[in-house]
Amino acid sequence: MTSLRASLVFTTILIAISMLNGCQNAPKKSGPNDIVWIKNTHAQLFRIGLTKTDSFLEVYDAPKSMLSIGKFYWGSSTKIEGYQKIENRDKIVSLSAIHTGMLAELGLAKSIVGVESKQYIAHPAIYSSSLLNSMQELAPDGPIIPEKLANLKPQILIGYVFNIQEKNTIERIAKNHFPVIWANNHLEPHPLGRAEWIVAMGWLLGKSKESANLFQGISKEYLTIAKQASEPEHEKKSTTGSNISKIRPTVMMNIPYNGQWFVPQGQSYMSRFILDAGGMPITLQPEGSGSNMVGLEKALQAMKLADIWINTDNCNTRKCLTEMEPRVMNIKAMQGNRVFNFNKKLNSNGSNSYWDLGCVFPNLVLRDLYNIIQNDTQSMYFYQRCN
Amino acid sequence: MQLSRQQLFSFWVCLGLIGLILIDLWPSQGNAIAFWQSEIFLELRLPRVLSALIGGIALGWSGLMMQTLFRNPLAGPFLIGITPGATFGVALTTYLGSSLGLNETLSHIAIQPLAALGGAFLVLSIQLALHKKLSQMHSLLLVGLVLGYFFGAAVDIITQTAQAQQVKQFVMWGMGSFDRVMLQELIPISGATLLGGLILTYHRHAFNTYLLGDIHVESAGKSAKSLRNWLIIGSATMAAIVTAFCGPISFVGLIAPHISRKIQGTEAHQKNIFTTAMAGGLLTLAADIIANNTLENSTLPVNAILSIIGAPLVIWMLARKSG
Repeated sequence: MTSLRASLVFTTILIAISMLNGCQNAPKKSGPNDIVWIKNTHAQLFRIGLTKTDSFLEVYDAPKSMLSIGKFYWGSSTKIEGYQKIENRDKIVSLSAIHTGMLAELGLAKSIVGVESKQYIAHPAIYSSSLLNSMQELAPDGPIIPEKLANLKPQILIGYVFNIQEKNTIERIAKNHFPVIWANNHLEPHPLGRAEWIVAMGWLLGKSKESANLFQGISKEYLTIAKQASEPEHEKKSTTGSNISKIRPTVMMNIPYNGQWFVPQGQSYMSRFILDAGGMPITLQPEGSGSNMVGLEKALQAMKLADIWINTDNCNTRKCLTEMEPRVMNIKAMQGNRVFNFNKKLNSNGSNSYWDLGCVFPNLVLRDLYNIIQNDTQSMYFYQRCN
Repeated sequence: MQLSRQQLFSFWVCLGLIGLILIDLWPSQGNAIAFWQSEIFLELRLPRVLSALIGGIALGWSGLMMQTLFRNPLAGPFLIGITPGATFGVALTTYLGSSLGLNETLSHIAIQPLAALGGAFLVLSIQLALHKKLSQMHSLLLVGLVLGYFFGAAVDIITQTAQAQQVKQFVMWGMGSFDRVMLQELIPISGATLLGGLILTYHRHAFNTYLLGDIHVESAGKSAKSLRNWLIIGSATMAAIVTAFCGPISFVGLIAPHISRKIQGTEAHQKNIFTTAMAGGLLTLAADIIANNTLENSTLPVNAILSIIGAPLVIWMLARKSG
């Protein structure tokens, strides 16, 4: 009898653990039973659902944990258990340049009443218009100023913050006043996953058709370039030009900061781009989507034979790179003058379109990288050679 | 020939140091001869190991001089506030450098060390001025702590107005690393160490008298003020230059003289100069080896490793002292 009870308890625990595990890896079933969830192509951290009367948006924290960090609905139902109703969407606060860029791309720039800092906004629709002046800056030099946000009385807040205290402050202000949508699209591992968030924004803000069409175009071009890059005739040819070599050009990324180099891992956002563009990213760890902080010796040992060097941060010339760290001079990419940075769309105030439009339009980034790898650098959008 | 206990300990420390130098110079993979002839070795590994060794010696001597200056065994570049002062100087040049249009190489090689030196001398002058009024041992450490907070706050305020890249540079610098040191930068580090070593050696007997009090110095026909000046110049120069090039390296200056005194069994400077240098070098080399070899694909911050080793050691020292 005791052993039967023990095995029953054990089985129950096992079932509970497996259910919990299952819950962690897939979005939990919730809301009305008749919700039809729309399948995303690449994004993992949101899902959009529909019923006859309402639309639904659920957002999640990170790809590994998939914990729900927000459930919203809008439509004719007065109350749906577990979901926060979104009433009005005409006054938006956007806390990241990426989301601001997405909203501007959907023609909603006029609805943005507050931003984190104007310094980071580069989208042409805002940067080169009077709209920038009409927006309130909520965190110009550091954390968000709570009074400013409260006084602004937005109808919806979209964004992400890294500081948990800042997050709590915003949620405290927002409570019972306006919904906060934590959009962690920066954690999406695939470039198209990040871009697909424009669909979520479109649904949320009444531009579903436009956003879906926009993303479809982006996705189509991205996948076409990636397919082109993976075809054998686009692989690197040997010096004689007759034999097709399987070797892809190696690409190194980033710059050292005081002797420390952040080398992206094999499954990171930038590594994905390089692989899709037909290159081979230089990484120290094939798995993982973050980066490894390594000393100069380890970094240069891995990178000295790199064919191409990209993303040199604030250094736009090779002189700047050697002034910062003279020992990078011997890297093959430096010798071969194949160093590129994403500074072509840098504005005079220091904002850079690469950060917002590059996220919305990964096809443009991929096209640039593909051209860099193919050594055809005449018509690039974000990148340019560091001379 | 029979070796005394002190000689035997010194011998083991020397042997340990040589062993660590060899381990640190050894390639992580591949042929050693080929590695020692490679650019990576000459441009990166050798400067790193030499800067760890010389930096350790300099910090050890700096700590020894500070403990003599304040006649306090708990004095060290970090606790006294010299490192935070030097850090403030480096923060100023990092953040203001590009605004003033300074050349990055010039800023790194000349302006940054000078700013660090300025910050270090400023702190040491404040400490010394207050030391005459606050005679209790712990007042010195409290003032050091307060100065540390003060300069930390000043750095925070400067950081708020800095650009993202400058913040990254400064944060990375703050982690401490011997990796960033270039061969030519060993010249100012070695120069500062040589200066400190010469001051220590030349005044070794006078410093012993200084430990007994100003009256003893004056009665021996020497000037206590002049000795104090030499101690300030030597200790601040070594700590500031190492901090400017390698980042803040904690605990070495505090612990190395203690290890030496433990080995020698005396506070006499002539006995402690050599073993303090060995202990300092041993600590920094060990930290450098741990930093570079613990994780295959990452490098750990040297400062964090020294803090993990140093903090329990200091607590143990304090417990022993109060016990």
